Amino acid sequence: MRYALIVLIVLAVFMTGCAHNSARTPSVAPLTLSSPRHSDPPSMPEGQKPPEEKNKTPGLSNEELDTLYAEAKAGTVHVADPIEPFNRVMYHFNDKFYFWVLKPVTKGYKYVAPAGLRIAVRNFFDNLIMPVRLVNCVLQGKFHSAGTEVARFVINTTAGMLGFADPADNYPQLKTKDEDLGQTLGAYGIGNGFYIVWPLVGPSTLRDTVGLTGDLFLNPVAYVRPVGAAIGIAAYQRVNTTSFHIGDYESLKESAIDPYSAFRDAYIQNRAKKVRE
Amino acid sequence: MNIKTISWALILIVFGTIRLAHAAQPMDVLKGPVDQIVKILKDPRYHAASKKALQREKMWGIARQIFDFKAIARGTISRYRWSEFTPKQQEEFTNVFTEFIGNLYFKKIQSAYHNEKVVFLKQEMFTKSKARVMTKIIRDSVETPVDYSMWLQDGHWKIFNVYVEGVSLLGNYRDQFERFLANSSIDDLVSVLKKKVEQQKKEKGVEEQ
Repeated sequence: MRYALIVLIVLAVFMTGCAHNSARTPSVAPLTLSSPRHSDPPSMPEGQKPPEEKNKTPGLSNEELDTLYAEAKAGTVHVADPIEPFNRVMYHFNDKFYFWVLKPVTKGYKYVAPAGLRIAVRNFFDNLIMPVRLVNCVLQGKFHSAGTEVARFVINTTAGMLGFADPADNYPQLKTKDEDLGQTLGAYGIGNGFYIVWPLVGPSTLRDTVGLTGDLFLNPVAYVRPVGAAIGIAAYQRVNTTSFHIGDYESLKESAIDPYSAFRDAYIQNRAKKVRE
Repeated sequence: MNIKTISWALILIVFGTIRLAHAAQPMDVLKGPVDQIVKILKDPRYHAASKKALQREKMWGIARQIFDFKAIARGTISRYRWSEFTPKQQEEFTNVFTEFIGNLYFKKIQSAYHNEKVVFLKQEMFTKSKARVMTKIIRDSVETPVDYSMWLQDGHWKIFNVYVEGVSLLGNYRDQFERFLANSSIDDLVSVLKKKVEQQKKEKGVEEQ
């Protein structure tokens, strides 16, 4: 039992690459993703216009300003961050892990492995975790998508030679969306809870952590024995996934004046979008 | 020609012009500059490291036609905060923020461009003068959804917000700046951005990724 638990934890650590950051829905960098604003500054409600709108941008009418501000506010979703001090430490740990370990290893891998091979590996793992998507489609009542998942799986496992190729991709009607338990729970109306940054895994929330753990039971890699092999597979998959996203983490980090909170916002918004779909 | 004919002609001209103005669809308007930028990226003349700055210059020229940078900068600062900015701070902030995001964007596409394909998916008209254009960028068969909010300014469709994978550019900076300004001054914000731009300029060439 303890054995199984260790496998589970270790896999959770490496598997973020699959359910959450499946290459099919390329997310930011595997380690990145991100956050809410907890300590909102005391601000005037946005609806209240200041008495005198003295510094107007020439050319923008009041209506246009309303449109602009509505747009700026629309995309933002926030999450509580009661354990921010812990999260910040983990963020820095993950940042170092990315630059000192994951990135150099991935660069080496990318140097020796041609894109075609890496895409094939990605397809294989994508196909392998079909049960995760299938079950979550069903749980969300998306029976059409569930059928599509099955069709894709059959085609890619046979004609696609165990999933290394993705012939189903040639059929637009066989497009699927990334689904995972975190999204299912979100679709049920369960909120994010609060923000958590896990070491190695990266940004998550209480809800998504529960989801990630549940999804592991549907991930064949979690059943590989010995444990070392499962960890090795998971780590390899992480490197392979990362090989498509080198540079994404860096640019997002450079674009922020406070990277920690920028990643938090981005993670929450990205997840909210997936739940909506 | 009697008066009736003339008035009909006038009516036709007026309405005809309106129709023409409306005939320009935001998605079509966006395609031109995007294709131009892709062309510049592919142009072997700019592939030498020494030509990257020139290439960036070229892309800036195109970007300025299609991005409403003033509105983007303005939208990242909440309404009541903006009224706390002096006109000079507003101008400084707008300029430095524009340069900052422009450099980020160009650096990203210059370093990462390896035959990506930009696919225009669809456009959604919210009002006659506001629309969203959905696109996706495909690289190594990885798809990244990028959506553009556009509005009509003086008869031209311009981008005033971008969503990358559902993450809103305006929303993201608005939150960050609001948090920053809760504890620091407007001048601090401007100087932080200036420092970032300095850093961007210092980075020689582009890192190969």
